[in-house]
Amino acid sequence: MYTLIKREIEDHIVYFLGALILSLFFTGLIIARGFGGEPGEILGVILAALGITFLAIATLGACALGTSQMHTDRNKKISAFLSTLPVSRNQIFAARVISGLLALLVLLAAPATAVETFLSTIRQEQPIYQYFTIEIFSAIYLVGLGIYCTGLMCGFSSSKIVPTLGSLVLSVVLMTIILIKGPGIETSIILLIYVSASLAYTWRKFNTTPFI
Amino acid sequence: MSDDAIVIESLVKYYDGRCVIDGVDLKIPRGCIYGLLGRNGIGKTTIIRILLGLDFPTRGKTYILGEDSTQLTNKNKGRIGYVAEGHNMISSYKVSRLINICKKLSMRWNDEFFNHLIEMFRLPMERYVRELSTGMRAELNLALAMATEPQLLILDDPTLGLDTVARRQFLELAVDVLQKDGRTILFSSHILGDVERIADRIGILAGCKLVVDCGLEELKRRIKKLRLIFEEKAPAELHLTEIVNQQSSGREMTITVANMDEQKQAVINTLGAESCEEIPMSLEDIFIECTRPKQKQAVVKT
Repeated sequence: MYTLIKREIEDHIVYFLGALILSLFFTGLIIARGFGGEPGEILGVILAALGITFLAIATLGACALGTSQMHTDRNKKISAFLSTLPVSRNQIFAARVISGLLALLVLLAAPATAVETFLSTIRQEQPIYQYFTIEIFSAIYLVGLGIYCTGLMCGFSSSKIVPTLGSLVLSVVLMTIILIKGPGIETSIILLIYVSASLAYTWRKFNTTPFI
Repeated sequence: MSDDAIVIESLVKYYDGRCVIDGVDLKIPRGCIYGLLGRNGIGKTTIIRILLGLDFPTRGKTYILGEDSTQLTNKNKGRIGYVAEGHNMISSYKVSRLINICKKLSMRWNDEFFNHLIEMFRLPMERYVRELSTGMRAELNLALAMATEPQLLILDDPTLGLDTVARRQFLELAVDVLQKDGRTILFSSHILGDVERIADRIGILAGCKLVVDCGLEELKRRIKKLRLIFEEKAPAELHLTEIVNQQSSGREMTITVANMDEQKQAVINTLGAESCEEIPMSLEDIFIECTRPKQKQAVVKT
């Protein structure tokens, strides 16, 4: 399994490096502005930064990663080759999804830590921020995951137009959910249902489609 | 444990409403080198892909090393070596990376044997797979399959793209692998000389069906081609069962009959031909007779 996950990461290293660079950039921004300015201004900066991060995940990163993983697989007959080795289709699929989860972690772990570190210093004065980090970052993570799953779902196609347009449209729908409803338990449940459904659909399709 | 490495039961496969395989039954015993022959696009690769679980049957069942092909465990996959038609490996990888991945994912890996093969084939480790010639890709694919010391080696037109020397080397290697106990080889090819050299059992696919499934020597014994010369015009029709092919021209009639026996010979004798001579047939001749587009569906099986 480790070999399969490592293979996925190495094959899509550009996405991981991109996620790391974005992550470091926003972490730097949060640290520089968060600990240097006035509290009110600081939170505004943080929220703006997170908003941009979120958009970056949604439009570029997760969606492209998912689409690329499946589209490349189909075009280069990667799974067709791997499944002739002692590897099951389930393992190939699981490794792919785990690598997607890791890419999102790479993107969000450092900014989340920076925000939490900053908020821990002002939490006693402003208890409203008690679960701020968990709520915001879990919502962003789930949106990223949902969009990533959309990419996986649409990417398993021989056409280039269908996966690109399909995943972009579904990504916009997902983004609007969080923009309208805001982070919270209801949004998380909706996103979890979407993630589960799209993963189940893609897994079934991956397991029942002949490898050409 | 079943004595058969491969079992195919009433296999049917449709592609886009077109029948490709129609009720194929086949058993390949362990330790056998089985040559599966057929014209291009007749379904050889489809059968192999279904056996490996890469494709799914429309109807019927296939078993490989005692397991249903659609539910092959990793343990059994580890006992199978596969050389694919066209040698589709991951073309965007360097040779060294592909080898590394295969080595890590395989259950057994004979480093010494693999290095010997790599040295023999002179494969460049730092080149991308897509940069290799067809012959080199075939050699790499073969080396990867052989390194796992498979109990069952499935070769789908493996010598396609190899030059004569490499083809001979490959065949010698295949025989070398078989010499180890219990190894089975399923060998699909359209190069009949290769099959004739190494196979001890032959299957011929024609018209979506397996029309021949028997030992090589037995096949040569049971399919006969006769040339009959008549005093006057040769009859247009001959009422005999299991005729593979029949052609009449002027005074001459040529017939190819499967499962030739005394009874059939007696029927032929009643035609009153001036002379009747047997034309010796090579495997290639038998193949051509069996796979003619309008051939009658005679079946040779044991």
